[in-house]
Amino acid sequence: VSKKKNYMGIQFLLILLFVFIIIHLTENIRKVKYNSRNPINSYSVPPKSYQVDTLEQNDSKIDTLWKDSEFSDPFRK
Amino acid sequence: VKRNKQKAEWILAIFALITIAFSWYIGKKLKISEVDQSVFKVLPYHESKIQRMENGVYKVTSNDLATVFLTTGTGKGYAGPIKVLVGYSHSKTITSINILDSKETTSYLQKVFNRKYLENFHSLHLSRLNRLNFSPDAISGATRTSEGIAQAIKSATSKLANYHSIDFEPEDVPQPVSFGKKEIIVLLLFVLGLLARVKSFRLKEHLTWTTLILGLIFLGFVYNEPISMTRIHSLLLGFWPSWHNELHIYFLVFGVAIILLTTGKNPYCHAMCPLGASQKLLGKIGHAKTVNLKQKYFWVWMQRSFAWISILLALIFRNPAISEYEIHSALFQFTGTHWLFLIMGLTIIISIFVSKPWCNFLCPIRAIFDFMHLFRKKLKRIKR
Repeated sequence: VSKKKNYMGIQFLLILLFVFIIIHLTENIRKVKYNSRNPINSYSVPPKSYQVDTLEQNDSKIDTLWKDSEFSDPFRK
Repeated sequence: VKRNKQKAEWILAIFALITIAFSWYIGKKLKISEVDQSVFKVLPYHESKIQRMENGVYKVTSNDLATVFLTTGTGKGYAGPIKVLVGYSHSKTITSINILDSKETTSYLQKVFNRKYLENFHSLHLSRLNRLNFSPDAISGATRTSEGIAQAIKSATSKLANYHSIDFEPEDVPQPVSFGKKEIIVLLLFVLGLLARVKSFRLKEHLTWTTLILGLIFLGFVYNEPISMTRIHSLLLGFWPSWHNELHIYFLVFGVAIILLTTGKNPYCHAMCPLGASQKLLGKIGHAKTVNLKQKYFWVWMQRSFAWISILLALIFRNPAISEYEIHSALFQFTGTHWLFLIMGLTIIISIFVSKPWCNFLCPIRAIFDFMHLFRKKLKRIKR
């Protein structure tokens, strides 16, 4: 075990780490606050342009959208 | 001088407890029922009529569009409940999924979206979700978050099924208690860790290294389940994990707390913590030396103050992940903000030359263990 010393270099790095932590926390709070104001509209069909479609048109368009999309429905294959 | 120092520590500990209780109250008071408001916020049908039906089902009618339904559902994520709003077409297929509220770390949630997990539920009919017990593969590195979302969608769907009087598996099916690999590993680590702390044990050093390496592999890289601030915040906020399938969390957190409070020995930091293990290994490589700073108390109180602030923020915002600054997710799962990666990188570099810098100067869990030690000492003194 070393004697009690100042170790200025280490103290400087520790201060740097605490500063990074403060920035990280501030960013985190900002992100969470933003998300709570704007719920993550992660996935939504029908898109707005189809909103005025009639019921049948709407459904057939969803089907077409689905077939054209790069994702596959595991149950439809 | 020593007595004065102890007195000051005790007064500050009481102050911390009072402020923690107070911020819990503020958080509770500030948190209004936001779900209803969020429903309107995410709703794309601006000119529609929205009626709130029974069981949290919203009926949306408009002149131009067929009646659609919206329901909210909740699932258990890693850090707490995840609330979703699911939209269904008139033919009861899923048309939209919105995350209304979540306590998950943003980077985990982002991972789930980036891998397009929600697309798995695209156009699924209500009955399929039930009959096939549909659960797409969880996203590795964000398993609990993805499972929580799937659970929330299913819970929302069950409400709509109920509303239409369609047979649907009950939402809360009693699950059997699962005792698996994780539980066995945690118990094994406890036994080995306690053995390693017996002074007269001959193979003490070897055993300590064995438990540390096991902890690093399993609690770190394989399961990423160390005792974290997010976990502590979740417990304080009442977001307790299901003991049926996450018994290992109870073993780990309460096991450590009980051993620490009864024996005064800390079985976690010295023998189980994956972060401690990684720093010890790095220190071995660089022959790191133990640093004894002149301003020791300043740094000890910095460490404690940050832990205290982290708890206060989590309680005020009622979000366990909001004030997490530990580096395990960056180190073991490669998930986190770029600041977190920077903190991790710097810590790794320092660990090569200085013995366990994270544990000694930054770890908030260590500060909590210090508080428990103090509490134990005080109780002992009162008993006498």
